Amino acid sequence: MLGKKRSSKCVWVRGWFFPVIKLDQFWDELQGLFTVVGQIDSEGVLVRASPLLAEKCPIDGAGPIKFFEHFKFKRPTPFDGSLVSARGAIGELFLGFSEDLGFAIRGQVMDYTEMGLDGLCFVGVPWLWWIEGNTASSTLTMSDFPVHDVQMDQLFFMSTQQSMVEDLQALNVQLKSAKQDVERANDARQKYFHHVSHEMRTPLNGVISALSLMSDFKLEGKLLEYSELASKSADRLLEVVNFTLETASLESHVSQAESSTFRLDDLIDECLMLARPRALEKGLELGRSGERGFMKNYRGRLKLLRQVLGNLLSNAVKFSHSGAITLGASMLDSNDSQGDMIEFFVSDQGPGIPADAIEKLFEPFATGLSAATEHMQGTGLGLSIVERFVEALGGEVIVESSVGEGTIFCLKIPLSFAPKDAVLESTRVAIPQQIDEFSGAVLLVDDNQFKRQLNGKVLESMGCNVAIADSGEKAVALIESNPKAVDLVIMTVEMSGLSGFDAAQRILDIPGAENIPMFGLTAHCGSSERLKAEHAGMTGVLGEPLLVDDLRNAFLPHLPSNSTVSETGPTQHLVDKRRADAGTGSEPLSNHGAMVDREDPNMSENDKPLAFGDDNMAQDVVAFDREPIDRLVREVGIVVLDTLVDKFLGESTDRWESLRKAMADEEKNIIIREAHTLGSACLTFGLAAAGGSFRKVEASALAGGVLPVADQLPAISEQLGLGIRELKHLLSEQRLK
Amino acid sequence: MYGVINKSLRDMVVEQFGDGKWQEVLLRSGVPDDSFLAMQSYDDDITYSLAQACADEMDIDLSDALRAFGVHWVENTVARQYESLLQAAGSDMLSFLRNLNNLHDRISSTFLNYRPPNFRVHEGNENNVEILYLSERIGLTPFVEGLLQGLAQRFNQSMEILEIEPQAVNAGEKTLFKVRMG
Repeated sequence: MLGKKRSSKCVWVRGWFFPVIKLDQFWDELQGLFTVVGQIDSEGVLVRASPLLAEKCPIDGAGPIKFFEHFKFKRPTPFDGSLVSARGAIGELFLGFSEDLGFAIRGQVMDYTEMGLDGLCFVGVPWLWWIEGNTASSTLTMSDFPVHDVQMDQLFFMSTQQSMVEDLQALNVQLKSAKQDVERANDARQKYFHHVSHEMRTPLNGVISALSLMSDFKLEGKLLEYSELASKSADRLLEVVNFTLETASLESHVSQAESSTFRLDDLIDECLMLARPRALEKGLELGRSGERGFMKNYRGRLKLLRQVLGNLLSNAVKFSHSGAITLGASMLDSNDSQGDMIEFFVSDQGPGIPADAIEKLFEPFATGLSAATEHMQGTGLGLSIVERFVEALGGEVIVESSVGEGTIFCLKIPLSFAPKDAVLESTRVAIPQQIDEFSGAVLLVDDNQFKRQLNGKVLESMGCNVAIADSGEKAVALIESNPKAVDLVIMTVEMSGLSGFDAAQRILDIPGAENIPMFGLTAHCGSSERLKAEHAGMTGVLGEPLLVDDLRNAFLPHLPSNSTVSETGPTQHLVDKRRADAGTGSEPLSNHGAMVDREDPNMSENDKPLAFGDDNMAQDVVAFDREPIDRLVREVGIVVLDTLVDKFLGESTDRWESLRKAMADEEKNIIIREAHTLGSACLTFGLAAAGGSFRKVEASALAGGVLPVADQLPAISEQLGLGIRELKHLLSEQRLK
Repeated sequence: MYGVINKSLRDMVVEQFGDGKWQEVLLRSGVPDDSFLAMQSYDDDITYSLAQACADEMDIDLSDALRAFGVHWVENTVARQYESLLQAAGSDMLSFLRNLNNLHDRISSTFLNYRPPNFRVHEGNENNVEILYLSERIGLTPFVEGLLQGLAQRFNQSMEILEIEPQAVNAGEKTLFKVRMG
């Protein structure tokens, strides 16, 4: 009946044309479409109502009902309840309610003046939401709402939405609970791994140390073969245990929503720092390439990124025999408001990976993928972790490799900019000061692993390319193979097998090696050692622990100097103090050049053979001297130092036991060897009192007099314990820095 | 079917037999997850599997399980979540049944994938009423029987189901319920 199409005789009502029909028929039509219909006369009185409206507003009740006053209208606005105001709002939504009636209406008014009637007509429906919200119980039924009205649909929809909200709240509770369960499980797993780690590593270190001690004996034939096999297997097992436990704990990083603010340059330098000791040992060059000076700070999952780069560097070092390894980064793309797409690359000049093996490269436990690397066992988890973490970082990893030439891993990783006020995550390692004062190749020869690592790091910090040999024999062989590759040798004089002095003599006999400067490294810078060094053809001797300033003096005449650094380096005042305290210094000893020797021409008290029973043994020496640790932190960084101290602590127990047994059995050579090693290590790490006592034990045994007796051990043990406690405390302080 | 059905089935088992029993039902059904969202449409097979697993776990016929579920649906789920609608749909069982299609029509405007059943009510003499149930789905006649029982309880109306007469239909299910109202 209603429509936009004009008929021959219509009434216009707000844009709609109603065909003119009888009023009653029109009224019936309205009631067919709406359930609340009211005719309001020119006085505003309700004169006719649909059944539902009439039920609420009886027309023949107590008196006339002024429709627009009877209901309070929330809409339209403004609306003053007058007929004029209602007429002005034709076509607008009317929302009215009567608290007295507990009833509300929604609809619109129509003007049917052209039909010959004064007044207005209201057409609408009950206002369901007001009634639901303001009455205790609605008596409305579905028949009170015309089928086209959507309020009942809305009611159903809202009921269901409420149910959905409850579902989601319940799910949220379940998720929170599950998350807590996972965190608890992770926590338990971490504790378990920590425990297992301790339980497995400790005895394994014992095995490795015992095997190391066995190697000091002259084993031959099958015994030597089995010993070496056991030693390699134990090392391998320790590597697997460490890697597996570390990997398991790293798994939790993937699920953790960690986010840190960091500088890209710091991260790269830190990763290089961590890889450097191992590279150093293998004689590999390790450097940075790509862009530097990334200006913006980034925010993201630093732990994952650090682990990825660390794993790739670790692999590169592991599988390379020579050449250079580089880590670098460059910006691929930048969204000025969001972040950058960074490409990281880790390249090596190792044996390379065959094309058919690359596709299996990231599979867990994929090892020995090429003939060149099949002898290098690994857990095969490193690259699998790299892939997982890169995926978690939202990036991708690409490998290019050429057999015999090397491999390059490219990572494309999106990094978000950090907010300006974000606090930078400090790097895990204190990046040691890189002096780069000298250039040239230095061969470091030492049979003690942690001394090799420590001193290698010091040499590298001075800018030297460092090659390593763990015995006199290997040093000779290395120089024989290429005398020109070495510019200077630093060699521990006391070594099992070929001693430093003997090795030096052999090196001098190598054609082309006659002029290589060689320095002996010894804890005993006495005149006898100097003489032995001279006889062996050495240039001089250096005292332990190895100090940068001693090295500088030793290097100046022999190595190319990049000398922009003052000869008085940042640690000079400490060295001066030490020397002033010890009454020692370095000075040329002979025409060999800058002989470095901390010995006073008159042998110092500490170097004199001492009867072990002296009452004043170590009593005047402080238990702990923090200066060596401060120096080492500057020179090698806290992470490397941590590793070395761990190694020292792991070995010291076994060496202590060995020393105790040797003293009981009066095994002089073992006493000398163990006391020497323990003394050097203790002094290196600042355990002054214990180091001094071990020195005296060694000196007493060397002097050939009365051998120290086991009765002295408790006092040394106490010094050792106190020293270790101080050492750990100091390292904790340094880590916090 | 929508998640609200599956949730209701779960609630019935949990309320009557505890969460442990529900977990057994879930395991037996092979349905991997019971985190149902009321307004999400799920495969019908999930509902059928759960209902069958309920019956197997309780060692009862599937029809008995569906009947019990029909009662629970009216007395608990609908009454808790859609009480306003129930009230609007009728104040006695007959008026409610007459409005049932209207109610489903309105639900259809919100649940777009909704495929509601259809009910035709015919009042005979001596309080006899015939209710013709038509559905695209098969096997839910016992559930409707439970619904009728639940509605009778809700409206405090005595009702006796005289006959349940399956009728021929090309697809789905068509059943004539002959009942006598008290």
